[in-house]
Amino acid sequence: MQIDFHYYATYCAAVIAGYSCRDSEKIAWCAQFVDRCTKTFLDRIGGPVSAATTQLQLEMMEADTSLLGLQEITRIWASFHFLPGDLYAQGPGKCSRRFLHKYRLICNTDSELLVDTVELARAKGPEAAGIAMHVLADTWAHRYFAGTPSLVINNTGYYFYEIMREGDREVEKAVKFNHNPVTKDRPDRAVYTNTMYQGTERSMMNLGHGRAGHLPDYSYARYRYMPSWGGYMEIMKDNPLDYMHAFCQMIYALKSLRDPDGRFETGHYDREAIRPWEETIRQIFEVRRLLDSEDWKKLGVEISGRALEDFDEEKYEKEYVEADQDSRDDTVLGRFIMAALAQKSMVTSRIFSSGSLLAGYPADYRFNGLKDIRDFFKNLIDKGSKK
Amino acid sequence: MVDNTREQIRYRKSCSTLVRVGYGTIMIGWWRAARYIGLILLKKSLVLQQIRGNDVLSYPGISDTRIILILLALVTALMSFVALMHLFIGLSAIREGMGKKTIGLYIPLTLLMIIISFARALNKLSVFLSSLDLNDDVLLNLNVDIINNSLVTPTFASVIIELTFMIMLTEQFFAAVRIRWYRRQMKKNQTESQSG
Repeated sequence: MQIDFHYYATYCAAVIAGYSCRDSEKIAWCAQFVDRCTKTFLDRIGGPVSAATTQLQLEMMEADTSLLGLQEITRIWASFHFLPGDLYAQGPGKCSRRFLHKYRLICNTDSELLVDTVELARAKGPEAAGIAMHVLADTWAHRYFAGTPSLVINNTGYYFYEIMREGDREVEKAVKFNHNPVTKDRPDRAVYTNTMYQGTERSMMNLGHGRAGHLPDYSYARYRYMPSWGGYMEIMKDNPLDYMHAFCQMIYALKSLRDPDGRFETGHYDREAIRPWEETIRQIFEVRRLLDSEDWKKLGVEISGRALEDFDEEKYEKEYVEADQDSRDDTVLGRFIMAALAQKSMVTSRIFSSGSLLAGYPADYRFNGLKDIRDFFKNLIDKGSKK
Repeated sequence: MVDNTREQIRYRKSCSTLVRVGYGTIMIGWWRAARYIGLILLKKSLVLQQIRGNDVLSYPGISDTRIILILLALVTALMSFVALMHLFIGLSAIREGMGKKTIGLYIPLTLLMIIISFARALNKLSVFLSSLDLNDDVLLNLNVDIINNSLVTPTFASVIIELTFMIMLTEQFFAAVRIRWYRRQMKKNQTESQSG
């Protein structure tokens, strides 16, 4: 998903869920910041680089695709953007163990990991809630793709058709992909940019939904295609419906986080709460536009009575940089970093427990005498034990 | 809106096969053309030796360069035709696989190419095997001087390529037939459901 949903829509959802405007802004900021918190940024502010929740395009180009490099990439993308749907899924018929482990990383909605993600944010403040909402939203947009570079999982081909509305009838158009990252997507002509085909299994071009371009992130898109892992099975993706589910589930999740005795459960979507604005929200999702920030902004004003300021990546940077080492974790960025580390550790641990080394060794394994993320120990375990 | 019945999955698999093999057919066409043109350009001395040694083909009044140029022109023309035929068959297969309208002529042409390819593969294999002096030296040192010094003796690689091409064309043929059958069945089912 893009800034329009992660920032503006999350703000609306938080306000509807009963959070104050101030907290809702923080939740929304943190939800969007998951797409900005790179190693480069953390290095610049003197934060722990292992808390990175995304990678810049340049970082990905330079990324090492050796075993350790791939584990690093998978840890980031699977933890925050492509939360695995079922780590114990049966493979599609006979398959190798290597394929099965990648197959199990395929992102899907309403998973056990999603419950763990939301529960991990309980009683941790708006920063952790923001990260959880980003992960939740992305499970709907990025379904059927995996957060690890894999040709056999993430590849798509010429069989890609967009379902468009022309007047009062639906027509199907074959999607044309081009590889020039500078050209803009043309939704009117079903022409989109995607990553180039690379025959190597572990190429960065085969990470996530790169081969499908930005289509999963456009709320208006309805399309059918054949994923590589599907054995010639066809998948229909209805983004307006999925995004509506994501929005309603976010409201339910945020409400449950506000309730001290609450417990997040999958399969619940708070449709009642959006009833006064349902038609407006539906129209925002349906309009064929690459970014819906303005519409969400207007809706935010309508719901909360005040306008959400434009996203500023450096909003809390000064607070973090100027704080002394012991009080950094009590700043907004500090709490975000701690929550990000906890989320990464939790997902890595679950992936490892399922028998897969695709995300490497988790923090818990330290107690069995193996090396782990040093920053994680320093920031989470040692400081936690001091407290 | 999605149809994931067994028939539909098989149909899509056949379409995908046809597209992939179609690209392969085009590439084999270009390879063949490049191979024969390259053979003349890189083995000029051997070519001239063969021509000069032949009573019918050798013309004492014509220079070596002219002979090579004439031969190159003839081979280029012939290979262009071969490559174009491969292109036609390949493109038709790709179009058929992608669900676009195409002329069905490529199917019998594919069958013809299978027969030619089979004959070529058999011929190449037998000539290759008979040209090998299977003594210990060859087996231990992979001595292929005999093959390199001959124009007509095929290399092991070209035998493999010919066999591969034959298998590809067979796949293409059966995939094309299957796709047309499925489409006929789907149309029939559609008509029956509309009238019913």
